[in-house]
Amino acid sequence: MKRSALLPRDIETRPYELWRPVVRPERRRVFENLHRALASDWSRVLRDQLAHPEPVEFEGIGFENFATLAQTAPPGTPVVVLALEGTQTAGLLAVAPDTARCLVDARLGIGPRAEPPSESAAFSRIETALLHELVAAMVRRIEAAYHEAGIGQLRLVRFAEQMQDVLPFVAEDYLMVFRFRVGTEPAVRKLTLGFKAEIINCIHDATPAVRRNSRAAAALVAAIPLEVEVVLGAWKASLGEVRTLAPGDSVILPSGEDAWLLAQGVRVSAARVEFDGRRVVVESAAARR
Amino acid sequence: MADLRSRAKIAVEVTAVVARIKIPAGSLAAFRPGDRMEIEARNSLAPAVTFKLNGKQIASAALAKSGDLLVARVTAMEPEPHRVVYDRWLIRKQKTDET
Repeated sequence: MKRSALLPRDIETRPYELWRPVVRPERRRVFENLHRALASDWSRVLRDQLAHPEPVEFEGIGFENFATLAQTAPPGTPVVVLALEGTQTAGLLAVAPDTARCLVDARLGIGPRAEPPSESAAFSRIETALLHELVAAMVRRIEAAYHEAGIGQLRLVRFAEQMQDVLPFVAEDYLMVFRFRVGTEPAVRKLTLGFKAEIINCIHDATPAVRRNSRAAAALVAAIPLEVEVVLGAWKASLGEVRTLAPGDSVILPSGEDAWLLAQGVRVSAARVEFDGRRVVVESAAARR
Repeated sequence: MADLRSRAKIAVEVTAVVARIKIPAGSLAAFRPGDRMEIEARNSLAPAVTFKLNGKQIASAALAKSGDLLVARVTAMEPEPHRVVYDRWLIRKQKTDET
């Protein structure tokens, strides 16, 4: 077997699902840039609200069905249900339990713990309220970013205690998933934003750059000065006749009914020419060759 | 080899140019049938005629009327001047309303 045909063992493989939604590269880029900016925005929110803020980084986009997402989420993952108004597109923001604990601790001014809290360490009512307040502030940033990007008006529907309580989704629903990491430790504190795959179509394609440039180019072309001659008429003459032409000779000219405009040597418009004192009056006529 | 007499019979195209302007491409494109362009020489002289032979200037002439005929009286046999002075122009768009 050729060496190039061998797949490295450390690469995770998944069966390809033919019904997996397709997102065009330009739309993928829009989503990536949008959520990278959102991560920076969230970092600012956490900096403003937490005693021990940590940066948020956008990790990437993926597609998963809801069943897989729910199975891989740790038990007790707090979730916020979201909806895009005027569409069937529902979404969720899942905060991994250790991330939620870390955020609440930072909000309360408690420094980083030496050991991670146990999964059974439930939030008190006050802690839950603080977490909701913090997550609601983050959702407001998503609302603003999505609104600005023209995706639509996002709405926070409700908070859920765990992934299985998220009603708008069924197991087969395909989600476009945006993953974020909180802090610098890899694969520890996670935020997951997911939307039904219909969100792909909520991105309105920007006017292609080529077209914008074309408008600019058209404006530039329109401003180019052209040398234009008003030609009263033309006739054939022999070289002998031309050679005998001399000052004082009179030449009968065409009447001006069949004149034309010549731009840079190209006949561009038929015209009728009249003389009004010192002015030459040119009236454009239908184009004629 | 053709002799001088046969060369003299060679036909060429003579054109009579009565104005020369510089105009933005956009304005020229917008010059539609029915529109009028008024052109005046920059030095406020009467319109003159330039004779061109296959696109090259050979003579200048003054315009005159002879009865109903438009006549050009040759003033100089001269090539195109080194520095061209373009005429002034003004486009008057066709009126679209009938009132």
